[in-house]
Amino acid sequence: MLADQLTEVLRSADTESFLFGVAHVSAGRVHDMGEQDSTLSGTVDDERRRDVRLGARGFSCPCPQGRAGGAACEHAVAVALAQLLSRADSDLTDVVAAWFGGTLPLHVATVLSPE
Amino acid sequence: MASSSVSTGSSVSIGSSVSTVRRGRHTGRGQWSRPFLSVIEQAASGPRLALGRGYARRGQVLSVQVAPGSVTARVQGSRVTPYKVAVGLAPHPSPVWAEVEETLARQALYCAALLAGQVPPDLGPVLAAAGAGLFPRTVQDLRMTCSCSDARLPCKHLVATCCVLAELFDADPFELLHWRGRAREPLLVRLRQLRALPQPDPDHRLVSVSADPIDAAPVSAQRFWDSPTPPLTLEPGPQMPADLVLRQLPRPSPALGGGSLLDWLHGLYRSLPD
Repeated sequence: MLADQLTEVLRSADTESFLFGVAHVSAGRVHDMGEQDSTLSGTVDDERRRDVRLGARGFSCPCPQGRAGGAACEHAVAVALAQLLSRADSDLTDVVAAWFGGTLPLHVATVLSPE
Repeated sequence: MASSSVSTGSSVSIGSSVSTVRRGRHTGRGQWSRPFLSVIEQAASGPRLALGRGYARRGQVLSVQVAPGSVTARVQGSRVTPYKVAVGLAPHPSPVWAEVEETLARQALYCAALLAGQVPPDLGPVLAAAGAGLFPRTVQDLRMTCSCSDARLPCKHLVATCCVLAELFDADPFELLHWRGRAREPLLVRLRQLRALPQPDPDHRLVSVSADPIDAAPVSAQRFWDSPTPPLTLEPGPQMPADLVLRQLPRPSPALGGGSLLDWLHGLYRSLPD
């Protein structure tokens, strides 16, 4: 489910990756977002272009941390945030506030729930 | 705008725009930075504070970007690759900012100052009273990270970043509001909506005034005496300059006469009898 997928990426990130991912989104460095079957994609213009895929079972990113697997890198965070914000009436501020407050899963689920 | 000249020789990325922050004398009063810096200074142990200040002075903070809840930076250390630094602080969520905006919109002087690009010096207490305090109270409020190997934070790279960030806040307090969750443009757009002012259009055409001005609410006698400031209308009163309204409007397009139209209107307003 989409909410779980995005939540998992955002929660697995460490603090540095989350905060840098927020910066990428805020600066407008995420583009070319797409969705095919259950895979979300997006590109982050970091010092290098990073093409990110968020799949049902994890994420992929060519950066060193992305290749190591495990916790989401800042690019995966950026694409997850951008995908979330593009689908729903939600503010980057509110997602970040939810992360700080430990209520990220609830926030993502609420934002994505059909009204 | 603030009288401080911000300075380090570092590059500052604010959102997607880049401005160069040049080193020089810091002439601001520090009111938008001192409460934040004192938290950092108290937390920095051993030589980290002095070393970090040195890094900032020598321009080793290569870039700083402000986003809601997240400040990120790159700091040149002894290694080839710059260290990645982040300073997180919980932003105030949208409902809190919505209340702040409505409070500010009721205060004509605050609104006018903000829309003119000035952050009123006493805005801090106003925001704190509305539940949107501007500064971390303790270092525990901050989520600090650095890619260096120092086990104790704030390391010198974090100190350096905070020094540059402090200068940025003094030079442009809107960036402090941005860090706490509301960037300058969305804030000003909302204030104009609430005051029923036209939004400037990139093509410099006057756009229609949006509905839902805060002053349209009927004023009951009870509310009049209860609220701290009675709602103000845009009509100039006898003590205000007759052309005050004109000063809040964006420049008319060349098709309408541009700046000379405004000049003519100013003259006309001033010559009209009360």
